[in-house]
Amino acid sequence: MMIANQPHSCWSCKGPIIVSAPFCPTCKVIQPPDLAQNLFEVFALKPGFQIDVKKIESLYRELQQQFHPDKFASKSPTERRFSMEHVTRLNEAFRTLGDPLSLAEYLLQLSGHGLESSNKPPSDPAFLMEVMELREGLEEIDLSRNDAGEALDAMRDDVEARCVAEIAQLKELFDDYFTNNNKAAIDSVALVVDRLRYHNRFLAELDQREESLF
Amino acid sequence: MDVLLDISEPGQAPKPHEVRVEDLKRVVGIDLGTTYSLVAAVDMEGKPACISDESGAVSLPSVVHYPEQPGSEPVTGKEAHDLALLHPESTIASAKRLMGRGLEDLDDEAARSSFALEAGEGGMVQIAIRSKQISPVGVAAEILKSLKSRAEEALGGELHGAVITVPAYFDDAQRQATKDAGRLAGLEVLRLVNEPTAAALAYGLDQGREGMYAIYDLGGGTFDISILKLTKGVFQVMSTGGNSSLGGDDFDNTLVDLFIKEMGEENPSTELVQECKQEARRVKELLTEATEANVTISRKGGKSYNRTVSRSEFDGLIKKLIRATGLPCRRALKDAGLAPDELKGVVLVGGSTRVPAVRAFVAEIFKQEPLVDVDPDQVVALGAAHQADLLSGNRRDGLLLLDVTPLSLGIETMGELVEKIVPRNSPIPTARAQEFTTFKDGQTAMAIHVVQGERELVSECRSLARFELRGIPAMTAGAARIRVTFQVDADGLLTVSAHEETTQIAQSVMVKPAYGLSDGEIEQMLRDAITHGAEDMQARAFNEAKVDADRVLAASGAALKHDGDLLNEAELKKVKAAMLKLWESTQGKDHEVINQCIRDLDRDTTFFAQRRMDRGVQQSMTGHSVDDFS
Repeated sequence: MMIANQPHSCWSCKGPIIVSAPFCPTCKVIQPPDLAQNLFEVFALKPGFQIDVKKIESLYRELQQQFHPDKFASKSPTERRFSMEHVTRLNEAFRTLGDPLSLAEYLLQLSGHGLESSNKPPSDPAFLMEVMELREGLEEIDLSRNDAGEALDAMRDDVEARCVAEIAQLKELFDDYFTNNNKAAIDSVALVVDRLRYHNRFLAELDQREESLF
Repeated sequence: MDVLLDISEPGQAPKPHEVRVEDLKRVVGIDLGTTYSLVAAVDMEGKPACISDESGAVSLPSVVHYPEQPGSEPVTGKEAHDLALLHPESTIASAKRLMGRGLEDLDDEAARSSFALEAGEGGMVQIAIRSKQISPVGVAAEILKSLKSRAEEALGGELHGAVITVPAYFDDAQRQATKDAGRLAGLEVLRLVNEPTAAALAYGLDQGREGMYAIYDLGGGTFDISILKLTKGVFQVMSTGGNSSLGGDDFDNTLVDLFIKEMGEENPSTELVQECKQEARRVKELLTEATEANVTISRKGGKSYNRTVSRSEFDGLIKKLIRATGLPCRRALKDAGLAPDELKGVVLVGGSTRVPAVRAFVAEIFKQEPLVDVDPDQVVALGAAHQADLLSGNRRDGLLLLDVTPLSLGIETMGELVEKIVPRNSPIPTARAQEFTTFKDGQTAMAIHVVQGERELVSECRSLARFELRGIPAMTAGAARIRVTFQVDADGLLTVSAHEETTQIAQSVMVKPAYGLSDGEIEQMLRDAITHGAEDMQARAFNEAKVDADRVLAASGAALKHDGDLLNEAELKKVKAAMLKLWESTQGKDHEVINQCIRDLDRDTTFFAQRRMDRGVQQSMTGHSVDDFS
């Protein structure tokens, strides 16, 4: 975007910077990151649920080459600080956009939809039933038995399949939200995100149980 | 004014790509190991090599002997190692296992140690030698000093800085302690780098490989596993794990326990334990090639203890220890989202990977034969030297290490549970924040307890720091919004801040979890050690000022080149005079003078900056960028 903003001055050479840029056009010194940018803009992307992870990974490496603190180790303290701020933000963007759950949560946040407190019990009765069944199933697995590993694996396959279905659902809902401009879709997103978050946590718990087998 | 033109256009100075020996900074990489330490540097051709002592040995035994005679200097290395048999109580080995640890973390260690361990201030472990307390950080500093002087002799002058390696699985306290040891030895610590990452750098460079690699690093006292992705010169750590108190020393100890049991000694003397230890190590090393080895330990009254240890017997003794490395390996693979067959290779690092049973186990767990084509003892130091070279700005070849934090960081919440804020394997540097609230009406303070570890209970994690956020305005329970921010820097070190968000006046507290040593203690130790503490501080302040002066001169030069037409001749002369004065100040010795000249130049160019901004505003109004005119 080449919008002619009110220019601000470079902290180092004091010259004008008209288009927001990470390096001063005159003295080439690193500038602080633009915190008004959203995390998609770090990779010059538009907000959306469909992310080409391979593409952002290669952009991530390129941007690390430009901004990593190692490249500024012999520079002044201010330049080192700005480099760290850039990379901290870059890491945040890569982490958030690279995982479907955190990506969906971030899009919810951008849409202005308040995030439910993540520790609250689910309000949807059908989901509540599912949670109780999963929990029971997990408690029934006797970790001292020889086939405990297989039982945990079967449960993992089941929960992973649910996650895959939820991610597909999110894709459709966000598509509806962004392309058809259907603002109501965001409320359904919030419900699916709750489920996906729960299932992700459940998988982490399965991992912990599995580790205790060794 | 010729000199000014030179300094204002730094890019056009001499020939940019020519490496001149006088321009290179003297920097080294140091592998501060549990049993051995090494120092390496990169030569003119960009190849790293280990620096040897006058006898030609590259590895320095990590042993320090404190002689009895008052005023005598501590003895390090081989000489100290040889004194261990005569003076076990005043000769410290494997101090790395004690770094950043409290006495209660070290039950086993304390029982087996030939020297006395005590709790120092804040519960940190101290070594008692003849009624004096010596900290493990001080011991490590002696080893670093010894390597520093070896390197300075070889490189022909004072060092500008060093990269020191740490086990990837070191926690914040252990990292902080290592950095403190560097400062205490008078080293400018450019960066702490994880050992497996350094090894990967040296290894990957040699081979020019791409893809996913596992680095299995079993040293004298620590075990690390890291999974790295190598892509076009970027070394990206995907996951890491390990055990910071498991290593070859523990293999030796299984033999020591066996010998002592068979001798029927209930309370063995420290001398006997020491002799058993040296014999155990010798047997272990022999069993790498041989299938059996003989043990002879002389005892009081002319008797001696004799026995043969077979390799299969030894394998049986250490089996449990080796298997303990399996869980971190599986976890690291999982965290990286990989199956074993997706790895391009498994690299062995650390002397303990010479043990055949270790190699067999690695092959079993990763379902492939490990790569052994680099010297496992030197590879960490070589990688560290390369990283030091990159950081010093001596070379720019596009290589980059992207590392992660090894352990989750969190704070204590209700019910002594841990709320994780930074999960393990987060790429660093990173910042994560979380909001908390008050649970009582009118609550004005909140205790914040910072912990590190994977467990859910606070008591099972490592406590890093406690502080209290005060001055929260009295509100109903749950109304305050306290935002706690964790910042982990490129060394993997943590800073925590907290503030209340609903009120205008945000309260903020910065905490560096200074486990081990406070800044005051460091200063005191620097003074005690009669190293050139004050001179070091002076030199550092001067270097910082000079770096800033160089930046200001480059910025002013760029501004003149770009917008010099905004100045009349008299003004130009005035600006250039201020620049010249600043440049001259950098040729002196006083950082205060430099800083004053920077302020003067700033003052003398305020009007120039204003004119440049005015022109910028005009250009932005007509819709052109500045560059269109240049």
